[in-house]
Amino acid sequence: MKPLAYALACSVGLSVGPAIAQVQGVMLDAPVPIPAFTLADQADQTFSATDLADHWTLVMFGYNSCPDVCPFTLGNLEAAIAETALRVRPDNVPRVVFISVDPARDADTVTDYALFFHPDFRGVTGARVQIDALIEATDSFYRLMPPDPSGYYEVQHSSAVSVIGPDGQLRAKLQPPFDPGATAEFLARLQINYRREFGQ
Amino acid sequence: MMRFLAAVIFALPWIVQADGIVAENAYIPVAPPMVHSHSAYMSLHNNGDKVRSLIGVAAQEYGMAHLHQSQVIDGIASMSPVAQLDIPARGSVALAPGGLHVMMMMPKVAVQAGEVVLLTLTFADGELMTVSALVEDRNAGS
Ligand SMILES: [Cu+2]
Repeated sequence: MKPLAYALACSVGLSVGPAIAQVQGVMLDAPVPIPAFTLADQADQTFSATDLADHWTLVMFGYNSCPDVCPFTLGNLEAAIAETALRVRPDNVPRVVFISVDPARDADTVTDYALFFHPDFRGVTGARVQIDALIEATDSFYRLMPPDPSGYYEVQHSSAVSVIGPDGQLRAKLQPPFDPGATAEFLARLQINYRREFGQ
Repeated sequence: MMRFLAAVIFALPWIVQADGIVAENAYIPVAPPMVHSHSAYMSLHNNGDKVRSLIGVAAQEYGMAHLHQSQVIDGIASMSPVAQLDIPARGSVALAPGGLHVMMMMPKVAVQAGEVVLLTLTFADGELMTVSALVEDRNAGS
């Protein structure tokens, strides 16, 4: 097994304000550019920084064999997207991308995994260095834990979901419990602020 | 045969009661087919006057099961084993997504929506309790 791969949560100094209980997200005071990266789905279709342009994207890091938190989050995101679709124009409905930080186990199934939760969800993964570039840019974290006697290993990972704007920059983080209505409300407000910033 | 037995037990009332302990609404959200680690949830009520401690779980048709807790600490989601879960006298404990769960690994068969998985709960006083957990579609809205 490889040495523990991880990105320190403090490696990027984001100006994220303090979170209050039941806040569904935090808007960044200053957007953070997403660097070049190349990931791919299980059919080798690439997913790169250019795929972030001109629409909103929600990026969630996780792993397929996550029994509790990941399916719960993806289920809530599915509901939150449906709620958001009631509040924003169709072309402003965010696209959800699930990025597995466990390519060794998930490279062949990550796309089917994401599709299980919604037919429009994308599932991608890739080389460690590519994943880590995105982890670092979004101030996220993961760590592969040592395997148990059965060979199963847990992967600790950020619970927050990164919200990337149509300009390809990190704009906000969504936080658990991802209440669908409140999350949709947050995303709609974020989009209003974004349009204001661009004077539209 | 096992499936048939499970179906018969499932036809009994939905609430399962051991000595003073009631397990309600036990369910397993159906997992994507390539996923081999699943979670079961339920609420446990203790109608007795003494605290009861859940110290073990087993799941039929899985190679391994244990009591687990997901938690988010400093924004990082992780899981840890729970050696003992106390259900207070006249109180309840909820096993729910994002928190306490029965983590089940190495399924021996494909587990599909509509099926029932039998869980055996072991309490510190030696009592065993069988709970039928329904495998639910993701949109079942438990
Ligand atoms: Cu677990």
